Amino acid sequence: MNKKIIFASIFVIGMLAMAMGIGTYSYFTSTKSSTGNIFTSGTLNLQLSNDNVNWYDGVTTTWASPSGWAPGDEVTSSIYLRNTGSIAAEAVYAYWNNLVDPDGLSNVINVTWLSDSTWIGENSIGPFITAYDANHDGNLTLAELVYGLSHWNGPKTPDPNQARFYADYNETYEHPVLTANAGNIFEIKMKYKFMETAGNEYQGKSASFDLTLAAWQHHYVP
Amino acid sequence: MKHKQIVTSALTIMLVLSLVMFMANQPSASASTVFLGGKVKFDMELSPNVPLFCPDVDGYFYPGSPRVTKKLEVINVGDIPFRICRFEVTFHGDTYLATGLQMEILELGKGKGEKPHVLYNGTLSSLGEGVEVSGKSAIPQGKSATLQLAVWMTETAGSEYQGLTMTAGIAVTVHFPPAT
Repeated sequence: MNKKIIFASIFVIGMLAMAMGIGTYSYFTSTKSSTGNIFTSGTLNLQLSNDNVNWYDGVTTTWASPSGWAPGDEVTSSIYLRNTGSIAAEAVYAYWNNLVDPDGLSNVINVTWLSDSTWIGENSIGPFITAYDANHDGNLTLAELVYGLSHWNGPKTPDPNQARFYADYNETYEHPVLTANAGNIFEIKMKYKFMETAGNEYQGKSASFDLTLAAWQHHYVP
Repeated sequence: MKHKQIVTSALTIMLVLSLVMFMANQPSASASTVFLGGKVKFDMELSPNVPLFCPDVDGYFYPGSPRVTKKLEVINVGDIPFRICRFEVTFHGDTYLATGLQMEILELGKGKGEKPHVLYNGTLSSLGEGVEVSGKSAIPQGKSATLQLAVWMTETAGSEYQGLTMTAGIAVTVHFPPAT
């Protein structure tokens, strides 16, 4: 009986000792924190204006031909861009789309001029004609500009029918096309000419299209 | 007499087992003597004791933005050595931003030419659950280890990460014994 008690006691105490031993297997730890660290991501916020005075955020600006626009008349329109975000944009990509033209008016409107703030005073329409002139007549109609697919821009724009705007002549993207905090205004100027050969069937007609612009923090890389 | 034998046997077994378990867990005899010597202080400090990351100084994160690199000293202000064993980050605010940020934590070498030891390299958000790491070496009493923390946004991050702000607390845990 006594031996049983002894063995039982030894067993119980042994288990207790094991538990204590396991207890000593844990680590001492100490934790300290570096608090109040702030991480903030930048923004790009493209704003548009018709007149370089009134700016719109995320809404459509409107170019309108003058009233009484007649064959042979040419209208000049500018759209202004700025970036009110906190980081600069290397490039702006644009495409003409959403043509609403039930009477075919866009077939008798030639786009004769395109320039921007990088190429001040220089008409860049030549490459656009090369890229978009579907019937190869040497003229670029508004319809061709909207519906055309440019193979000229293809490798350098996110979508092949887009045009690209950047800030340096050599397209090195060393300088942003739109600096942060509205630091610069970028102008895109276009001229539209009502063809002199347009007939009376175009009297009182109208057409509309959209020019969609996207500012990119980093230029597109295929 | 029998009771005395029982008590003596039990105490002997308990003492032996405890010592066996205790010693098996120790990296060296010298470390063990610290415990045997009495009350010890086990403590650490981080320096600088101010926020490391601040947009006013670092600028904003954007896809492909340069790495923002900071240094953090882990100082042993206790009596026994320890080793860095865990990082955990708590987030407040636009916590989604943490999924778009990468963080690399290096433990820098002490000597000239000693290579840094990568403790963590991954998304900042993954640190939210805590990550066990193995520090480069034991940090003795009165010494420190230098952590280099780099944060950046990957080039593939999309526009959904624009304009987000979050605050983060970066917790560093050390353990004794310093053996891995």
